[in-house]
Amino acid sequence: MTTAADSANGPLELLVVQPTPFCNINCSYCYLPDRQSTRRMTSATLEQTFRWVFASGLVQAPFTLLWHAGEPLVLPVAFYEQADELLRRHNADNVPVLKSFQTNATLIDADWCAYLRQPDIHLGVSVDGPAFLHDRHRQTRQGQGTLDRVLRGIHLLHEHGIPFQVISVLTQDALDYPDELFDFYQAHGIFSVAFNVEEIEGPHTTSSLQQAGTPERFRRFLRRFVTLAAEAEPPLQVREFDCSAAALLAGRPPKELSARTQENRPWGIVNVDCAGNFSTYSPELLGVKSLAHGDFALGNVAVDSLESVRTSGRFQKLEAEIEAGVNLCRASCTYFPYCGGGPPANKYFENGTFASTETLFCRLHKKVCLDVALELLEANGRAGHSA
Amino acid sequence: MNLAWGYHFTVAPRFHLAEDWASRLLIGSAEENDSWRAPTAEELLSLLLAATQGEVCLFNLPDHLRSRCWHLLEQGAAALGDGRLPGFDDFATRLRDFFAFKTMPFPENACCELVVCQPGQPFVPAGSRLWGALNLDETATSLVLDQPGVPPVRLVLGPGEGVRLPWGERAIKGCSGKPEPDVLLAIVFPNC
Repeated sequence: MTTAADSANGPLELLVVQPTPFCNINCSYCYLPDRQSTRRMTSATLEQTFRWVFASGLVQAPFTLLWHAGEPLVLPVAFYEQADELLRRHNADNVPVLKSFQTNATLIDADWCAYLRQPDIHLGVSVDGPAFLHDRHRQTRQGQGTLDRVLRGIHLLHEHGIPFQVISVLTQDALDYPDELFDFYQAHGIFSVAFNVEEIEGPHTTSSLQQAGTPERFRRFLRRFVTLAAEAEPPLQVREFDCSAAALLAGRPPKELSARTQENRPWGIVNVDCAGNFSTYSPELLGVKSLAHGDFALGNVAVDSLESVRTSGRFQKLEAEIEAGVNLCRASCTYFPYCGGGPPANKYFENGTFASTETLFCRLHKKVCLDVALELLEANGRAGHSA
Repeated sequence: MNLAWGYHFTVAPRFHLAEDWASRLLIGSAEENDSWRAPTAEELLSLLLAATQGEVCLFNLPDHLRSRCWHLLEQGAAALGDGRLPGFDDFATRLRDFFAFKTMPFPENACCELVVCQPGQPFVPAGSRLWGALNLDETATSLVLDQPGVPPVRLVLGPGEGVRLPWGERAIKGCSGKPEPDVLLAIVFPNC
């Protein structure tokens, strides 16, 4: 079993920075509690964030800087150019940093394309497929669909030769339409897709995927979609299959079964909001308060060192509960060797405690994905004894 | 006006069509050939209400399947000798898988027939009953349901759209109003 001390120092793999909580659209399943706020991160907070991160000792290897949790493109390009400069200034050892943006693509224009075409930038575009799926959930505050604007952004990305990956949120109604989604990706030059299931998180307290029979429906959807994707020319990459297949084929050696995932291990992820408040574990926890744990923001980059937070009773209590949850997963779930324990945010929002096991996310995004990957690998004769 | 058509139109479950699809229903004249008008509100209600036994289910074929079919046609046109289109059996299997996924499987003994027919001509192969049909062409066509005792009903089908019929229909024909032949896929019960 691991202890808090064993895994206390990261390493940092993902730095999630929220330049603003504001989002220019209003998706029905959004988990951000404060997405109408137009606050933005100041230059001083931005600099304190990078200073804090590189002084923390958590940076031991290349990591990803993800601009997310709010629509990052509502801030001007100049903000990110300044961020790049500050990052360079504080990254004294020149640790490789992959910059990543998760955007709804509605604000992409030629200026953004000129910036986003840098080779060390990874771009994720959120789009849920054809209008009858996308526009049902991804709407403006006036209730208008946003697909037309998203497609304009995607068209510009293609024009400027900027590669991107797509994230689509699957709701109950989408599970009937794998062929239509496949057609949509093919029609719009999308070659890499990730499916997020509609999760229960933050203010989004229910999911259409809670309906009885959903795991089997999701299984049928994924099986059909992955089969179509594999036959495409070029093949369409599907994150859920690729990650699950990799986990199955590699497995986890017994000595690594005690290791925790990026999301349930302390300081594998650091999340910083626009005011400089920071948290670790699941990004969805930042900005949320709990009766048992108080604010999941554990400190502020302006005033709190990593060490002071790590030794605080609040962090110790949080870590103990999350670790207990991972240990429960390890003891009770046959999928643990390929999963490493469920995300803390899902456990908290669904089960009310981190010291718990299965969630809707587990049932769909872990178990079904692994099952389908195994089934397809075996069907293709590639599983071998390792799976 | 007798409104008892004995069937009604609906979008098949787990398919999506443009919301105005019902505007593509037209009523024919018993006296005058090729005269079509929009249904009255009362007629439209009758054609859409689910109170009748027969259900004409509209659906659409994914673009990737339709493209595959056209690819076969382009590739196989030169190779056609004995009437069998190379690769068509594989296409039919994919089609069967697709409809099975949509929980609208076509019967085991049904088979797929590619039909190129002149506008207005019956396209159901002789001796067959029709489970469903779809428009493979790039332009719209129409199907006409012509049963005794009620005015004929014309349904305009866009590219890739099709219908599943409730009866194993024989009284159906193409009616595109264009000079070119229609390209349809008929799913039929053979030799009935």
